Amino acid sequence: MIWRVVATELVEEVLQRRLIAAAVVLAVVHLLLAPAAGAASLGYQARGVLAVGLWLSTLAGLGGAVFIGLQAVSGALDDGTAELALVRPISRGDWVAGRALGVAVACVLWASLVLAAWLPVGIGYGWLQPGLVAVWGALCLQLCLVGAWALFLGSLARPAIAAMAVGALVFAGVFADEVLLYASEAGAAARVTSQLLYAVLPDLDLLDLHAALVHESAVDIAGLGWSALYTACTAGILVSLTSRVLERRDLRTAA
Amino acid sequence: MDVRKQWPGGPMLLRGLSFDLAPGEVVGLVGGNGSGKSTAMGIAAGLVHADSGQIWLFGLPPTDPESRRGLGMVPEGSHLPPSSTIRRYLARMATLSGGGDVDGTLARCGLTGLASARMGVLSKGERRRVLWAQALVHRPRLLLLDEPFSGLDAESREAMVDELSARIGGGMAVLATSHRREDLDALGARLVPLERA
Repeated sequence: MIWRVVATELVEEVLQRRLIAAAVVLAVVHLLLAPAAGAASLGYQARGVLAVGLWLSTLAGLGGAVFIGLQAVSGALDDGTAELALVRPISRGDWVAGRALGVAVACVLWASLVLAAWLPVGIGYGWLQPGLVAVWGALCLQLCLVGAWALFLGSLARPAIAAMAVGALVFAGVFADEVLLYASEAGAAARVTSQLLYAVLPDLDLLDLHAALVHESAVDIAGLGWSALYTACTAGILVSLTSRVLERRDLRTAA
Repeated sequence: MDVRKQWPGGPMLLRGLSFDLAPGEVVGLVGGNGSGKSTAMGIAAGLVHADSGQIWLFGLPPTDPESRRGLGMVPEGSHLPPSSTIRRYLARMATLSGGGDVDGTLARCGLTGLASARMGVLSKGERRRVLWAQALVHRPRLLLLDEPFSGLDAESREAMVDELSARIGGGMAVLATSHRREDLDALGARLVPLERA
């Protein structure tokens, strides 16, 4: 019950404050891009333009997930809304768990919104395929993973600093494969460090299925399942760490 | 008892603060800027950890969630989610506290007509009244007030003093801070001075 109340507060806050308006803007951008797809004379050019649309959706989705995750803890501590909840008879761990639940729900809703913003274009050009469900699922996982990192890093720093840290982490995740390649050729100590780094870095490429949809290639469902398991484990660890950090923090900076 | 707190890199703010508070009693922490009034309030609410000393709320340390079951707090700033309506917010706060009287509190704080308004559009005085309402909605046994009357007009201030007096008469204890000695005098507070660091 406590988790639900705390989660509802966050979902209401982030959706009403920014995300619905952002989804409308995104839909307009997609519609402006649509004529470009129509003007393309060759099939692969149209596919390219549609892929750009889906890539934009993913990018907007990730930006929204960072915002949601930061608002969950860092934002609430920064603007003081956390204070009034935490003087109630609830533990900080329960509050963090409720906010994390809110991040997950908000990320799923946001993933749905960014894909819905693209749908009119997709339907208009006949790109509505069953694989879209897998793309939606993978996008939800991507956003939840990034949201969990933002939640955790937000417990350590002010929102602006935490946002930069999440951005740096996601960027570093692009090189996860290179880290693994290095691990295979490095000495024992460096191998362990590299493998640990590979496990920690969020490799979002593994969850990016929009290219598969546009080029009508098969979706690796088993791989998606493993990615879902990885996301759930990582998010669980990050939420637990956030709770521990918050238990030790002073929640008022006024001196 | 003998509570001490020093913020990292800052001066020792609280140097052995000690007092007790009985049901129906009002204690006022007085001191200038930087004397540690808000820090002391944060420690009492379980938001800030004391460096040393013992604090008990209803027989439990304030870090124990159960100790906060009878606690209400009006903070100095305006800490309200802008997209929520007043009624929904109070209902949520009441649920987190284990239950409360939302409609009665709205009426007593003069917010019935604004119950469906989003908090982002409220004036400063109206937001202060919502802060009072969230602190009173679950009928607390101990109320923490940090500069409670700032931002309230004379009429609202008088109404809040009347509401507080009635509740204090009913056994509610109050720990308050204020720059204005007359605010604490209006509540009949026993004063505890804090030295400026």
